[in-house]
Amino acid sequence: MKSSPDLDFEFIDENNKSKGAVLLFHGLTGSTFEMKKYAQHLHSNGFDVFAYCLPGHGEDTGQIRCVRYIDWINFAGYKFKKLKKKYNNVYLGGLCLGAVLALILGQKYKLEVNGIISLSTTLYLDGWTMPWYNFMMPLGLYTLIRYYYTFPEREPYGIKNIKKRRSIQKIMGKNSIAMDNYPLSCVYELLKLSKLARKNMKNVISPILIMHSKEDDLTSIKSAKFVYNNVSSLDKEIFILENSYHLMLYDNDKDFVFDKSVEFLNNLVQKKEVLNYAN
Amino acid sequence: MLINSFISINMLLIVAFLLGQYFLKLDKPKLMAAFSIFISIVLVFYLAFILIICVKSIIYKEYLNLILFPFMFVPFIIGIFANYKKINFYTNIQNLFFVLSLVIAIFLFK
Repeated sequence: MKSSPDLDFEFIDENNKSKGAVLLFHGLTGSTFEMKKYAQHLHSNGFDVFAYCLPGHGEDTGQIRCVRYIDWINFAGYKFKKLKKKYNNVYLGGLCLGAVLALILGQKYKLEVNGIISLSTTLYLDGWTMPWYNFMMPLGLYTLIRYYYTFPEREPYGIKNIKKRRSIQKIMGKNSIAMDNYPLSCVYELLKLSKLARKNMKNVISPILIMHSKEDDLTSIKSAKFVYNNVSSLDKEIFILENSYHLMLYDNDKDFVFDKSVEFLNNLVQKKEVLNYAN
Repeated sequence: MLINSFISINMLLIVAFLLGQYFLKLDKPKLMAAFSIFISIVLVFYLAFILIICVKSIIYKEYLNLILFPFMFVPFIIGIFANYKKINFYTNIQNLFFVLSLVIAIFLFK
């Protein structure tokens, strides 16, 4: 599969004084574009930040129907291991599909993952914008129909703030940045990935920050609560946002999300410094 | 009437999936979405008719007709193994089973 070098980004401190690396994963049918402002904020607070388009995304959307969930896991794992060779502290963050991937890596690599930020975690597709014919989804998902059907992106496009929604709407359909439809085959792969994540959730032992919108249009807070209640992490926090939908990195609670993420990461850095000092 | 309806639905399903292979290449999401809903409805009728035929077979003790019962699961079994790279191959396999169910229905009831 092709990579998307124009969309991938790496924000690295030139003086090599970063507090650690943050590897971000974007959402389903999105791209690294949706993580950029968030990444810039984390970087301005002392972290090196890395984000890469997942297989079938970015410039590679023509291949999106060919992608299996295992491709996403392998890609994410490869990027994580590569960073781990360079940095002592590697934190994972993700939105939607990206959050599920971060959790799966947390399950696989356990304490090698120094912290996880899980935003709009999509373990279930039960948001309030699911179409009326959603009950027929099993028929579509588990037959060849999944290769024919796509969910069109629709109001509210994951954003509660109307002004921002209109600006996001304009760039949707520029497929390299964000697709304007969800192929059902991708949803199928996401659901398989989510099922795997749910099954092994107790294997997550890294510190974790979970944020989810109360009115998430794609996935209800059931997903976030499942993560919070089932991870084995001693250090875990959950915040339910009151004024945003699924794409919280663009919505009304954006500043809270950005600041809370930095606070979480800084706390982890401090705790590690204290431990190192004690040892 | 039940059997005639089942045969019609079965034939419609075969044609629909053959057409579907052509539609996939058009890359028009809205058209594909509408087409998918159409195929889904036809598939629901196909499965429902098989179920009704099998239930009637049990009630009237015409157990030979139960040979159609496994065909209810074929679309889902193929779905488990299918991937996009070989979509034409799996569609042809599926259509083969639809043709088989059609032949069996004609043989049993005509």
